[in-house]
Amino acid sequence: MRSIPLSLFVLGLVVVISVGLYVPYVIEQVGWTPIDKPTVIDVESESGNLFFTIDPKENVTNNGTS
Amino acid sequence: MARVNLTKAVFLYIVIYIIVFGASYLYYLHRTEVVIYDTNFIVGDHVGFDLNSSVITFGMVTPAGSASRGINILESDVARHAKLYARGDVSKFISTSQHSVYVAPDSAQEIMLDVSIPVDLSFGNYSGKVKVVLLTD
Repeated sequence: MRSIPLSLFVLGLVVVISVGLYVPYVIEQVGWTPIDKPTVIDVESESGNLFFTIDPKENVTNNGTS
Repeated sequence: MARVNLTKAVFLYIVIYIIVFGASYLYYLHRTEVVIYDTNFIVGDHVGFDLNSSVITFGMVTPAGSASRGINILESDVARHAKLYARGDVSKFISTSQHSVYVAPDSAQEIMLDVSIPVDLSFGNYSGKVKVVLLTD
């Protein structure tokens, strides 16, 4: 009859419990991208000037509140 | 050295995993409130407004332009953390000042969502969904 050392069994137990605790949080986020701070999305060189779009709030063209 | 029967160990692992996973998932559902909104914006040659409050719509935005809409987190008697997620065409262009927002007890909080349109984005309708996860402390 095959058997494993008790220490290995305890290690497996810790892994199983950790995965069981973590997986529900992961399942809920699969397919979703966290909405975070804006990053540089566009850099354009025009007429020798660099144009950076960094913070969307600086270029608000349409502001409504739901 | 103490040893454990492999068959019994595997069976025990499966039972414990099911119990831990179930309890963790129920706990997660118990302490979270999830609201999913449809969201969209149109890239066009002029600016257009759309103040529909049932969806997060940014109206028409020109290339290199941007638009903002707010989400109101209403008051509650417990402290919460709001986390925001997106999917669909909009997810690459949508941003906010902070991914996780703390909402104190008995206070409301507005979270601003912004879309920034790259210069070279094609004209058209871009849609997706925004998920707000409210996690109770």
